[in-house]
Amino acid sequence: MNEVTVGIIALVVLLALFFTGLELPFCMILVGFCGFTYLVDFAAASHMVASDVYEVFASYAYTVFPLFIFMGQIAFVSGIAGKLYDSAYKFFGHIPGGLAVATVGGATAFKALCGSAVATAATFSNLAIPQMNRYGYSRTLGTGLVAIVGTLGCLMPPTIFLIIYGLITEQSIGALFLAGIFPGLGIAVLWILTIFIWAKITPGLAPAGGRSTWKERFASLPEVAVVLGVFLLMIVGLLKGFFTPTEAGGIGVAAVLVMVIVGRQLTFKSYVTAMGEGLRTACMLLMLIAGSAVLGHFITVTNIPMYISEWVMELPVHKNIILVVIFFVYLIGGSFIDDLAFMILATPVFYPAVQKMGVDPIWFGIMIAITVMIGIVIPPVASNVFVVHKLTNTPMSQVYKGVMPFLAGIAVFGAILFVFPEIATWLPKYLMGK
Amino acid sequence: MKSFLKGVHKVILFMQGISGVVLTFVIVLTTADVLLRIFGHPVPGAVEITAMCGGIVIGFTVPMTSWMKGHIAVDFLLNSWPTRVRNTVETITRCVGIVMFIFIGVNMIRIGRGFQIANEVTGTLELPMYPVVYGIAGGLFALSVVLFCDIVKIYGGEVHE
Amino acid sequence: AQEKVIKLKFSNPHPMTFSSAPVMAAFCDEVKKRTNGKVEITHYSGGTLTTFPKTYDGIVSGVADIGHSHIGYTRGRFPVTEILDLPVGYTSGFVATHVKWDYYKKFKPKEWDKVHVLYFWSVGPQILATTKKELKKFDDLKGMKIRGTGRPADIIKAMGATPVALEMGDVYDACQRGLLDGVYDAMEIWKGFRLGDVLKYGYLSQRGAGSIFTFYVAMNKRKWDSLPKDIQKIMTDTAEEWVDKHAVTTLQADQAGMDYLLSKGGKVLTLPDAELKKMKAAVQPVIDDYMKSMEAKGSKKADMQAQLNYIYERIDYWSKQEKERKLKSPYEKK
Ligand code: NA
Ligand code: NA
Repeated sequence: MNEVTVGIIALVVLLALFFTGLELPFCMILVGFCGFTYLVDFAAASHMVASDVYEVFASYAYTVFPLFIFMGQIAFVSGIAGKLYDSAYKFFGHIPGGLAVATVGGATAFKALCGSAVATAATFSNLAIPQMNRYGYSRTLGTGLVAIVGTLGCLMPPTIFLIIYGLITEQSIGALFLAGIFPGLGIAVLWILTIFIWAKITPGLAPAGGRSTWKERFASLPEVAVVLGVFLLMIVGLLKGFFTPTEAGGIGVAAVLVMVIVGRQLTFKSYVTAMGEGLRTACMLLMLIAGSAVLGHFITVTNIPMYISEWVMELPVHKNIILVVIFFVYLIGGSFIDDLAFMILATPVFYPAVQKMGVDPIWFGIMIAITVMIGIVIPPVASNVFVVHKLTNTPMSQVYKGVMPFLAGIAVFGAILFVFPEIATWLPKYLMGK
Repeated sequence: MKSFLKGVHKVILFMQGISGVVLTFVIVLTTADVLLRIFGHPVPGAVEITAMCGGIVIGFTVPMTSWMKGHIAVDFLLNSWPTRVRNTVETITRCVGIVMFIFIGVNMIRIGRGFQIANEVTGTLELPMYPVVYGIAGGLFALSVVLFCDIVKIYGGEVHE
Repeated sequence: AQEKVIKLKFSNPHPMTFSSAPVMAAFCDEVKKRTNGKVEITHYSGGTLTTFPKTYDGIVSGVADIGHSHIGYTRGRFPVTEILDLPVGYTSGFVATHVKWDYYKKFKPKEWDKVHVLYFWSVGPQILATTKKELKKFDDLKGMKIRGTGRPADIIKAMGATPVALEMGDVYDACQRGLLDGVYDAMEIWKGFRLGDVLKYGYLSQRGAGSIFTFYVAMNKRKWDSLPKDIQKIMTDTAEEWVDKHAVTTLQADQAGMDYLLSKGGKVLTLPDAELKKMKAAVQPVIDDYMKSMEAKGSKKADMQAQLNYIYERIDYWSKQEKERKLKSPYEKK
């Protein structure tokens, strides 16, 4: 059997294994190990699995994950999200659809600290849904919106998704962060437009809430300013080369900790809770990366990435068609298994081909982030929708119905970015000359 | 059996606690390094220390993550099967996991042994590398025990959380 | 009967954009040609098979059949060979490559017994380059922040500067923002990592310190022993020829690095001889410390001194060869 056949059989076995309930990284390690044993030998494979796990766990660059995730957890347990939402609510609450707009605004700001789509969805289910109920908002709109706002976490910096993409493809994480800002804001604006249009054509969908005084509005701003300050500190520090992503994580946590300790928003108990949650999420991610390192080494010796990139160059179709096919694969993959898991799995396979086609790697990263944002909320595996359904006791079908209009916003923006890559690439080029 | 599960839980909770302390140390270290660097006195070997601490942070959290079902798995298909089939499949996958991580742990010990015998050290501070390797291997052995606990929970006749 | 093709995996953590990678890829092709296709070596570049720190163990365990790395990534693993990483004053990458390989052939340290060494080579010597401040004399270096990890960090410290550990990918920004005052590395990276944009002054300081890592290409022992004798001979002969190919390529790569710096408005300078002497004296303790630590580990002082003398003698020899062959070198005195 030649290497490529072995590789294809192994990937089919891998997919089948996924559905047995064996943890994804364990499946990847198992298949990678067996495949490497078959193509190379047992002794080499035995060494490879152990050294891959060791190298991923004890890597300087990957220490960024526990740090950034812990920062998000601190933001989560200390109630910063509530303050941000309140502030946005005070500015927009009095207009029809305003509560929904405040949710988009609050979540986008919260996103500056918390990288998890599911955590954002959970937080805003608890924050925004009761308010919307009080003012008679449509359940469909409310739950759909909170299910989708968290997906912005893939795109808006500092995002774990783009950090991992940057580490895999050796792209500047600072440049990727910058590239994500305009698309992220663009999608947020499209969502706000969606809310207004939807509210316009369906009277009574999103009635106006209470109006706040200007005094109240300004009083709510300092909290927002501090969060944006920490955000800017990290982004600017990364861009200017003051520190590495790992150091940015360390500095970011330290700054958030100082902020919440000074504001008496953090107890020792909640510190421990946040730490435990953060550690386990980081561990889940690094296990996944270790699994894909093992699988990746097997895929390397099958020579499949090499053949794919040679084959793609010879295909008699325009490179845009190939790109659309690749994005489609990410969409399907991401809708079945975890979005990050699939990105980690697929990127090393497709990236050499993408490079050969001369596609801007920064733009490609942003495009797959947008693709995956859609994958997160479409069936069969839609953890965000599931969380909202559970926390708000709303039928899954209703949440999905609410998600759809906003999904259209992401899709439209994805198409726009496909035609105008500059929306993503302009800012890093302008600020970093890259 | 109940006391066995309790004992395991205690041990892995303690391991996660160590991870928490180490990560807190990393936060202090990186912050100090960045701040002191501004004044021209970076902490020597901060990168190496961070990498080694990171190994312990993750290695020691692995068992607790598995205990809380934190590793990503596709279970929507499994959950739709009858309980007996599900239990059988789960038992098999747990056994596969147990064998796999004992095997990886043993091989990791061999790598650590190699570092120890060859006196391999980190690039700048010349710290020995093997203790971290052994530490991560320990985390993987504990993971195997946690996977065994999953089986105990299936057949122990009691719902344990 | 049809003869079975022997397939080998060559792990090269350098990306194809690095000057050495095409040379190694050509090695793979050449072996295939000379063995009439009996040996096929797949060249995996850019760390897809093993990264630099994992290459040695990767070769021993057979993850890769052939691997490329330098001994600084496994500090302590090759204590004897580390003598080649000392600031002995390599005058160019051409000289360093040949000296290192001659050393191995003569002394064959036992610490390499677990693998079959195909050849040693080396990039150009580490030299000083600064961003804003021009070094007029050696003492100006005091307190400057210079990027370096591992052994080079010891050397930078001995020269009175502050070593700063940074990943290569972060050096560009760090120079631009004043976090670093300079770098201590081979000239090739001025172009490879576009450091020529942010560095202003390069100094041909190799005659002062002149240190550089020892790179090796080695093969899994079992795999090597399983090869037929005629194949082994072809590979050994090809490897021997490739040492000189690498040696010449480093000169071109360093020249390209220098040209890049110059094209960006930078200057390449030579410190006065008296200053280079001071530099040489400053880094001497690094050599002395190494010799002492080896004695403490049980090596004989006379043996170590003999090895060191051999290295100095070969540096002279190959420096003359470089001149005689009229190779275009970027290291001629400016
Ligand atoms: Na999905
Ligand atoms: Na998904």
